[in-house]
Amino acid sequence: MATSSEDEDRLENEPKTTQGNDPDDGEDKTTFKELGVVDVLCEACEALKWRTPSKIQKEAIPVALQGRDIIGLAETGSGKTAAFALPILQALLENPARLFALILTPTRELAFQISEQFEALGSTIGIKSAVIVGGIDMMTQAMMLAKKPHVVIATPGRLIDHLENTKGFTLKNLRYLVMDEADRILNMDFEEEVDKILKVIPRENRRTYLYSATMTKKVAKLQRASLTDPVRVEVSTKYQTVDKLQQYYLFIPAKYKEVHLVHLLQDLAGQSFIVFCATCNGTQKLALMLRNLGFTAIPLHGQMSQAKRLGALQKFKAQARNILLATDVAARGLDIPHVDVVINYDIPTHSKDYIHRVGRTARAGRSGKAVTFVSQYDVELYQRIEHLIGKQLPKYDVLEREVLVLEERVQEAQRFARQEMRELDDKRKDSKKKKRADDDDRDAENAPGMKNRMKKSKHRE
Amino acid sequence: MASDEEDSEGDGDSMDEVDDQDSAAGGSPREDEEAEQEDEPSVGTDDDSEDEQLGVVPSPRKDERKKESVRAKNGSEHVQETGVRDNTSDEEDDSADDQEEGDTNYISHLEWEPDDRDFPPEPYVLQSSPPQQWPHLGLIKIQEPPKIAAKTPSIHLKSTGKVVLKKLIADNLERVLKTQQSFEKDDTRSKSKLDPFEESILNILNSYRDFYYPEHTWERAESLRLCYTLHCMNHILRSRARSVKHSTKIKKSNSSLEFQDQGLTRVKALIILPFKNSAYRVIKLILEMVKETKSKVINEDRFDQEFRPPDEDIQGKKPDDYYKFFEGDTDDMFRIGLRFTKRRVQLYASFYSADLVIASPVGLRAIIGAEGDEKRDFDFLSSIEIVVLDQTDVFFMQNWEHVIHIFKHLHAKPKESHGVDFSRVRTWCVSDWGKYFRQNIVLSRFQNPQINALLKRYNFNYRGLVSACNPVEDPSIAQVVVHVPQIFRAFEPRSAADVSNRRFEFFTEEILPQLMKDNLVSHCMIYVRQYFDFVRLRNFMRDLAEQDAGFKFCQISEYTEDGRVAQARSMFFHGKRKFLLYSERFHFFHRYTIKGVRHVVFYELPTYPHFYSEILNMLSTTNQYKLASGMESTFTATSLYCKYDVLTLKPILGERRTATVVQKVDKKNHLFTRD
Repeated sequence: MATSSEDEDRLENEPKTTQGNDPDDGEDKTTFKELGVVDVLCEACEALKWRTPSKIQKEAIPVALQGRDIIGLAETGSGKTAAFALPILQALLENPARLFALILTPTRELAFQISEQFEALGSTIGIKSAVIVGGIDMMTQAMMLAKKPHVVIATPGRLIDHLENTKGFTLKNLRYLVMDEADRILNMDFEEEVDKILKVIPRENRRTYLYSATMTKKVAKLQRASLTDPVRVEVSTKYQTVDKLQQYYLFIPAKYKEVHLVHLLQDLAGQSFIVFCATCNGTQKLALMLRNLGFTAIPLHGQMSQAKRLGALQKFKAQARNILLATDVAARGLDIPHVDVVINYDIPTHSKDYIHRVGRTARAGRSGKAVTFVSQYDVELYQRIEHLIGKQLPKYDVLEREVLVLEERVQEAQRFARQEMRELDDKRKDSKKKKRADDDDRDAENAPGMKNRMKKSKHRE
Repeated sequence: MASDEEDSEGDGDSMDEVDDQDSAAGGSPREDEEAEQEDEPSVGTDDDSEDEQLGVVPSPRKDERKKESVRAKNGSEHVQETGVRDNTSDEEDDSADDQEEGDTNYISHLEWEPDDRDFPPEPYVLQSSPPQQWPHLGLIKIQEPPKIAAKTPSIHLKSTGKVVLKKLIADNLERVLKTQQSFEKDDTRSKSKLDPFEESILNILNSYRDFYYPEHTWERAESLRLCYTLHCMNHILRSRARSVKHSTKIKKSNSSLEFQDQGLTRVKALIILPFKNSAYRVIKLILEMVKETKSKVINEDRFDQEFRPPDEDIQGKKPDDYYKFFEGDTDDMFRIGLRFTKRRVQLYASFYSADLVIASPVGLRAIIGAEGDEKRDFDFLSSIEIVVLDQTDVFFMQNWEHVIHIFKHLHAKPKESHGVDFSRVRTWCVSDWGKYFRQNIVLSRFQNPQINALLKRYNFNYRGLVSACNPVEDPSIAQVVVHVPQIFRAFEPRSAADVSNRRFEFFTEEILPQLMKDNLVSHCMIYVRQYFDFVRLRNFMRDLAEQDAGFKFCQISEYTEDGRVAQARSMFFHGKRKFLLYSERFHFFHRYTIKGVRHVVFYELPTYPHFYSEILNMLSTTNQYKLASGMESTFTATSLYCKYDVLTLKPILGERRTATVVQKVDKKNHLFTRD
């Protein structure tokens, strides 16, 4: 398990004595043991330096251990992975069956993070897990599934692929189903897949935990379809953003967005940033531009291969890069520590995404900043966001003069970036062409030689 | 219905066209398996239940650590459904019932589920052990990898005694032996049971240890062939019986029982042979083994056409073993899949529906393809449980690289699933441990560093290795009849990788100048073992000839055209060329007596030890053209060697002389003459 996420977990689980406004704080001395977690797992938590359970863990674990279904409203970073992982592991200890639990998540990154937690908690007791997500060879995954891991962590699309095409793989012995970030799963049009999965796993004798950051109509429908007599566990009020989060907006003409971004990054230099863009291309272009200006920026978007994405994330986590340019792929579910500032370079089109985006900062009791760029085209979208969070945000103060000084340099950097983008494109096309030509050459060379050898090595007389 | 489908499928596909094989297979192999099960009287007609993978079955509890890899769930409804026999309550008895006599080794080897805490045995190093006397085999070494030995279900290695054959084979044994006899033309003894040597070998094979036997001879050839064929067939039939039995149980239990008894692909055994003539014999033996009154062989006509030895008998003045090597069909481009189902043997089965593949190195290599080839296929090699290399020595005369290439592609992770039912795949197969369970059987006429390297690099059998290690009794040097001084000259490479370069330098700087200076030297044959060296020397001598008009040489290699060969031989015989570059592979495939040789230089010692005496005996006076009397005393034979050549020196010089040659480091030249 990466050290960085360990840090994160520790932070989440530390007693939050600094939060004077939390009424629970005074008696926040509950231990995992008191929640009913068995000793082996308490030791595993101890080994991960988790001393006290987080709020959601305190709420959910005892209920889960009673064998009830749970509907949990909690955000990323609240420690909910452990809230469902611990009860599942405990059940596995009693009855070590294979293909025992299935965790559905919306994104690949999230799936890997959950698996890291399962590995960390379950390795001492020999629990095996498998991550089944897109972008990885089906055959490799089929073999992983054939090994019958205890826990499968999957994105719905790829799991359905295996249920339909991997002969001999069934979930008919499944005992635990977790739908993590259910609202997100449903928003990503996985509704049909989830329904299919629900049809092929046993209904009776199955525990189901449904976690979601928001309670939408679709989630409610899913709840009715999958849960029996659930207990509702809620740790934060709906749509409320954390108090430690300072949110601002910046109303600027669209053509000055780049300059303002650079200015902002300079202004807050030394901190870590996530900059949200609307498109993959946008992240790429901004990353090149920022690099030209000497920033350590790294893009993360859906067109990158899985390995590259994990690599980018790792670099950011390790603080080798301090600016992450992400599309909404990365908007949620990523366990990224050290984010000090969230910049909404492009305003989110779904206002709920705003909550998720800014949820990347001011986590675990720390403070954070969020700045949303609002251009002349974004006013309506911005108003919706204000409506959703129920408050009006202050303006982020900048000195126009200071910003415009940068303009020339930024424009130059942009020109370079555009050129680099073109070159990249050309190279991609070229390499494709070249590869084809190479193949042809090789074939032409090999074929006659091989034939001759065969003919000649044959015995003649 | 099922049989018709199989028939048409078989006729359609062709051996040489790989692409046909997939499409030609009418149904996926697993579907056929199901059709096959319907033959079983005990199975119900409810056919689809196994495929219904998405079907929801209430989940009974599952217990993991059951013996014999049986994973059963104690759902109470199912117990009632299975009715007559309660499958779940007394599993141990149950699985004991399943075993036929003789299955024990198969089960404890292949159905063992290793624990990933102490498996695989890494690093895989075989522990050395002293040679021991073994009945009928002489000295053998039994080596095992360390660490996991204690946890491995033990398979006792019997030295003598009968190996229990599958009933079908046992019933046919007499006919099989008769066929075996028919291959040994001069042998008139008839036997009704396996001889002790064969039993001894079979016992070793049946222990599923690797077997390295570098003492293959023509006398033992048929016995060895029978042994590995019997072992492979025993294995395949056992595995089939287990699988059919398990399928029945799964069906009866309404899919609540699970058995892991298959590989990722169907081919279980791979036999690699040099020429069609050996493949013909192996397949003939197999067909006798599985013959039943009602059995049917598909594609037998085509097999006869392509593999049957031509009627004419080759005879001539060449050495006896030449006619044994090249008797029958000597095509070296073949591969054939054999599929065994109930009362049916299908020859030319597609590689994904076959149980056994018999192929030549080049035949298999052509399918495997190379990196970057558009069309290549080696998924079918992913679950080989037994691989046999018979007459490994001949592969050196063909192309050893092909053999290495094949071994590199054994147990690679398949690119596609090829319709495999993952619930039946063995845990160690999906865990990528297949190579540790693969039994490697290597039979050769001599030891060789390259074979040792192959064993070391690609063989990982967790049960270890049994190898024969008898001292050389009849060294090749004893067969030399001419009275020619035989000089062994040592050179000193810095490392094993340096050997080739040092040898070249030593030859071109020391040996060749001496030969060129000496006016008495003419008619000098330079015997070169490897084609790579041959080309290097040829290029060197060409350059030499360009600079020095007096230097003339001719060459004969396996790539020389027939007319050129005759020309070269004639020029050499008449002394028009002082030097002849002669390649070993040419000699192997033609075995001419080159006339007129008065001096010979073994650039490298020959691969086949008996080539040493054979070449040397060409230096007889009867083979010479216009030989001045007394000149025969000037004849010489020179061999280059270094400390890495011990294994090749031994069968030529014998144990004692090899020891003196190698141990006396300071003495660079050794001289032997016939007394």
